[in-house]
Amino acid sequence: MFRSCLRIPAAASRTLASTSATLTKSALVTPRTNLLSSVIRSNGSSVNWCAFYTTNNSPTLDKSVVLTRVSNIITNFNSQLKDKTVTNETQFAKDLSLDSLDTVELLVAIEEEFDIEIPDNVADDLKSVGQTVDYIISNPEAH
Amino acid sequence: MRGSIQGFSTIYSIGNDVVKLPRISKLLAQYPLDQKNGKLENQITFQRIASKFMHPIEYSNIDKHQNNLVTYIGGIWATKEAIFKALSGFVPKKDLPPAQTIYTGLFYKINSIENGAPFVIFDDTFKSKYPQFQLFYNTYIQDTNLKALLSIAHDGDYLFANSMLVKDKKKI
Repeated sequence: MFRSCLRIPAAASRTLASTSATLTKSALVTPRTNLLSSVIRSNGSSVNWCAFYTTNNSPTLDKSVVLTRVSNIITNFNSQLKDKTVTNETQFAKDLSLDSLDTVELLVAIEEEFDIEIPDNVADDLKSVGQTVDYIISNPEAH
Repeated sequence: MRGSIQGFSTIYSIGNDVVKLPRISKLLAQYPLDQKNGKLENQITFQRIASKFMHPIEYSNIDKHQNNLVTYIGGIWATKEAIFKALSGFVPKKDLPPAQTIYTGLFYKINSIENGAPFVIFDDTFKSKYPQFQLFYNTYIQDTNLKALLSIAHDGDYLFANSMLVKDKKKI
């Protein structure tokens, strides 16, 4: 559902209309604000812009894509993990032999990849790839 | 002199840790500190790593350890792990704050001005910064008059930290 629709000032509208460029329907979604702006009509004499804010905070991340991205981080983490098969069930300590320092470094790499901050109490509970993927998907800031 | 030396009346727990210093070197290579105008300047990514285990006071002392940065950071990591292990043997799991909260907020390691020996101070602002853990602090740090004894040794690539949680000698 859309919360607001904004119309650009008339002067700007005339400026856009004066160009000979053909305006086509386009959408721009910015990760942070989820501003979806779309040129919805162009008839050569006026252009109406509408800006829509989605009520969801972020585009939904696909779970399999997140798993792939997390797996890439893990397999690139060190040479011993290069050929590891990583699934949702893979556990950091038990299956990947990561100690606490490794886990801190891995979670920082994941924070950087998805541009999120993992709170202290959550970090303590992330023992497996699946738990990490689930957290990333649940985090509205992740992208 | 006789009778003036007193030991600690209660030992609550012990903990230790060993860290391979090349791992810290690798971490610093990946998340480096820039040196500008003779002073260490921090890149955002090192701050991110440091924010997971360094107390702000330890972080602010980085500049003083330019010549032994790897040992300094390795010593902090090992100290945090050693004391966390000791706390885990003394505090029920349900009462223990998250590890990173303990590492970055509960205590910090500094060095004696007299002889350079490392020692640990519990941060009494922990309660106000983390009011949700006030009960933990009151019960296990304050009311027990807790002191963390620390000893660090390093030889080549390895650094060891040993800690003992005891009841401090002087009353609050």
